[in-house]
Amino acid sequence: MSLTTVLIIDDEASIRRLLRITLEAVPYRVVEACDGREGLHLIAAERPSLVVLDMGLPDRHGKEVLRDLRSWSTVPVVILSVEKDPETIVEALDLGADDYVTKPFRTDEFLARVRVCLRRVIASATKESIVKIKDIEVDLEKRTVKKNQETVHLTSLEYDFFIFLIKNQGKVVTHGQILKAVWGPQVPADSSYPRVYMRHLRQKLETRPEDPELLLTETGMGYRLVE
Amino acid sequence: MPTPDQLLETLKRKENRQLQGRLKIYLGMVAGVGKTYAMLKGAHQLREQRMDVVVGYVETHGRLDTIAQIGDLEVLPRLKISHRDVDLDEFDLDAALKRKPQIILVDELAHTNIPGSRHPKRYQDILELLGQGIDVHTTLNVQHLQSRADTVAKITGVIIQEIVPDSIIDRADDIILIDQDPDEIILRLKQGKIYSPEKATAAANNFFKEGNLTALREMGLRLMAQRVDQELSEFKTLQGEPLGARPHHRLIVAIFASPFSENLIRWTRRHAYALNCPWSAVYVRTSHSLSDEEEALLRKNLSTVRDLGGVAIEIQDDDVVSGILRAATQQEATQLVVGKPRERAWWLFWKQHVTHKLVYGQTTLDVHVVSPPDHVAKNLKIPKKKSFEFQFSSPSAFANSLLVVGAATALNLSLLNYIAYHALGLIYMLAFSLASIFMQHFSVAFAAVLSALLWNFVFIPPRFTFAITTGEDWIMLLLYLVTAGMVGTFTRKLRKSEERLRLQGTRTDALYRMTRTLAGARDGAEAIHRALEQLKGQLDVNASVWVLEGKRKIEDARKQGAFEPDVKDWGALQWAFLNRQPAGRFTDTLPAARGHYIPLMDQTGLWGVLGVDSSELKEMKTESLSLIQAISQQLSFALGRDDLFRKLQERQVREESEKIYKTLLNSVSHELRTPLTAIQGFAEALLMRGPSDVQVFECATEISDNSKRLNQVVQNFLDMGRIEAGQMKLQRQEVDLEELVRGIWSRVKPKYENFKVTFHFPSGPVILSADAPLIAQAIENVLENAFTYNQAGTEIEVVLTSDGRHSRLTIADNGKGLGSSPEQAFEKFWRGNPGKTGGTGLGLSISRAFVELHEGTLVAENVRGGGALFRFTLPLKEFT
Repeated sequence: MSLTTVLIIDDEASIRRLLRITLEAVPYRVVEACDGREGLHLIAAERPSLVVLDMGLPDRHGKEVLRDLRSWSTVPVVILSVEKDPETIVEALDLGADDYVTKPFRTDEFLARVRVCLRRVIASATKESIVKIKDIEVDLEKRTVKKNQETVHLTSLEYDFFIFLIKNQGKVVTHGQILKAVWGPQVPADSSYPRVYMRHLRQKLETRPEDPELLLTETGMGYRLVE
Repeated sequence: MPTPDQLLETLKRKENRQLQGRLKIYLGMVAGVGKTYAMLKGAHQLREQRMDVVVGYVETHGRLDTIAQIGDLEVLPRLKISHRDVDLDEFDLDAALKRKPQIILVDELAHTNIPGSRHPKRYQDILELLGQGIDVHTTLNVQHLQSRADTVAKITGVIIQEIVPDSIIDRADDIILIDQDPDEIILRLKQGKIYSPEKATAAANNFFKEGNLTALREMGLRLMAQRVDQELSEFKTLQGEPLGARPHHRLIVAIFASPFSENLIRWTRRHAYALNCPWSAVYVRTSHSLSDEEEALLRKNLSTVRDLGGVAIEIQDDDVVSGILRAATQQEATQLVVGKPRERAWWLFWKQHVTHKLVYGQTTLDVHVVSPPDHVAKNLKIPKKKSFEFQFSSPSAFANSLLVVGAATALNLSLLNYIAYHALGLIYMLAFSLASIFMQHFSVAFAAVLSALLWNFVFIPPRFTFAITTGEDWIMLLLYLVTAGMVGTFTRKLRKSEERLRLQGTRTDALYRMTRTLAGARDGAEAIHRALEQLKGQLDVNASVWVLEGKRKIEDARKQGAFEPDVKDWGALQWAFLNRQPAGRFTDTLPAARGHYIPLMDQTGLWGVLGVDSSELKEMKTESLSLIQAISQQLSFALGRDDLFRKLQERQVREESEKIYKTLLNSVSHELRTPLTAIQGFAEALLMRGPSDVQVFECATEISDNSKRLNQVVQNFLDMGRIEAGQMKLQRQEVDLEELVRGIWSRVKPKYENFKVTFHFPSGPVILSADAPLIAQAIENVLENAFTYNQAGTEIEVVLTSDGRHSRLTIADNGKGLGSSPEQAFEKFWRGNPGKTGGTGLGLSISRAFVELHEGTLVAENVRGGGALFRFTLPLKEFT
């Protein structure tokens, strides 16, 4: 069985080496690129299953690489960023990046992100009608949600919101992405709908809504449904 | 359809009003109909609706029911002013402005303030209150309105002294007519409910007659009807109903330096109001100069026009009729108002009155000829005309006259043998005509008489006597004198008008030069310097400019100039600054001040105040005023330009420094983080191989932990660097504070399982508009601090509350507290326990800086019974 290929685009040799060691230990097959131009070339040539993209590249900004890439490929992308700068990260996510990690990162956290992004590619192929997350069970065909075998009543919008999170399970979803997917593009970008509906969802789905374990907040960026 | 301009105007007026207070007038026909009573009753109702109503000034006249009606309303104390050794009560404007209620009641709109008050009239106090956004309720009797005062005087024979401009009626948002049957009023008067008995009898005989009251009542009702009409048409404009493209009528009134003109102005205003059309007044300035008294009267008339809401026009023309018609054309007037001429002396039969010329002249205007009311006509005080000025010609002028006449005589002597003595008169005439072009008035007259005498003496037989024998000679000499007189007069007129044109030219030139001088200034300071020089040079007055240069208070402004105002003047200066209107001498506000103050502003802002020391000036001439206005306007432009330039420069510098800092901080951050990431990552890679080699595992653990700590230090230093450089830019978004705190806790919880942390949150969400990561870090730093400096098992309590304006988050522990001075915790690099490892001593000061960036506060204190408490106060979203 051939190994899953991961492409690393980063200008720092030591970071590339670190990522190579970390990823090869899993094991994945690793390909390296040191700038955006080479990176784009390798995506076309090697057809990797996942790209790890550093935002600060010498020849062009990571955002531009991402924009370029998204015009012809849907390969999952994990962003590497030096600063926890919500603006840049949210922008990258809205441009089509799948998740992000800030330097310095913890190895296990990084691997978890990679895993989630790869799994999504596989999962989208299968067509399960029942999804289980911890004590929650969602029947996609009947549009019903159960918690500990008991039916939880969700309004239509709450359900759509939850389904959107399930589709992106384990990944961060931005405020803007939620609004666009659940409420449609005509809703203003500063709308407080996601925050209000997240409160409702937590009340209905979390065991202890005041200490959420399922529906997590990514401060300044959005929300994440736990893996 | 209403034109877009009309719509815009109506809307604009509504909009402007919204920032201002609302004015409600309780209008009555006469004292004692119950205006004050109704106003107080209304106030009680408003207070029941939880409005903040205050009685600013109410005159009860000792009427019991009115006194009772005040009840428990809050009453502002009155201002005690002693005037000529009598203590008088007055409405305290400053107290009212300070108290700033929603609604204030100020009785008797037409009241004249005691001399020495800020404004001469109470309605001006009220306008100031409205300008500050305070709603005012007041009372007014119809006879006090400027445009009605004449009619009232005509009907009742009582001349009304206290007058308010009609524009106040236009300004009013609500007018409530308090109507009562005249019989009932007289009954109430007799019962002593209006005045005390002795005063009541006098009043009943004079003013309170049934006929008078009926007339006044009708006047009040008619005023209301007109107002309703106007409101209706305004409403229609807003609703887009057809209204006619433009007003059908426009009135213009011709005024003079005459007391009668005031009546004409009021008549015009009244009719314009009834026709709902604009109006203006024109004064034609001829070469004939006015006496001081006339000038004062003219100024008063022109200001009455402005007070009544008309447009005042002053036009230069030697022909009054053509001047008036020119102004009428400019204003697109359709109707002209002129006064009926007084009886004239019969010997002026050949001089046609302006009114006649206008009525019978070639004009398509409708002309109203208005006669003065009897009482005015009888008491008309015609101001003294300018007394004839004896301009004594200089001796040299007389010498010139002598020379010319002498030369003509010499020529005549040489011609005597060839020409008859009759014709010599013509040579004298020629010489005289030439001379009159160059010579002054009196020397011309002198030359005329002298030449006549010489002609008679030397040439007319019998020669060398003044005797004249033939009637023919008599007639000739007489004709000579008459002709010379006429030539002289015409030449003089010609020269005068030429002089006036030159003067006008000089004035225009001066204005033009002033504009150029100011426009050429390099910066604001130079423009001010030049403006002050111009004022000194042209008016011989000292002046100063207070330049704000971005400051908000006039006290902080930079003063430039030689004029030093005293304490009283500061009040005027401040008023001009706050109200953005001229104040001080020659204005209606604090006219006792030494200086005349004009705010320097344009559409974009207020740049300062110009103060002109006018204590040396006896009066403000129209020319001087227009010069000062022109200078202040030019100065405003110059200062506005200066401000724009300065802002541009500041922005460039800021952007430049922002760019440098951003680049520097970003590269420092990148250069430090990248190796740290590698160190930490490789250490973790070692750890992932498991504890097969204990020594390697321990080393890797140490490397990992220390790199994490180093990373924290780097983060702190970078944050501090950004704060100090002023480079923190808030990315505000909606933040649910409860969610934020929970998010932090779920992140740090794994590290501090052995602390007892409890949370108390309010039932509803607490929403801020804030930079979420910064606030999160500020809170996390405080939490981490509590964990770091306390032993395991310490209880930590996190409480979130909101008072509707601010959110409060307290983090309290039952540990060992902060020592004697909790404030110390926020000092940079201060560490509670230096022996303990970890921390840079920056965490708390960063927290505080982040909170302060959000206009919040972070304080620390010791809890009674031990422990430390940190309190965050942050404004809620609606108050950000």
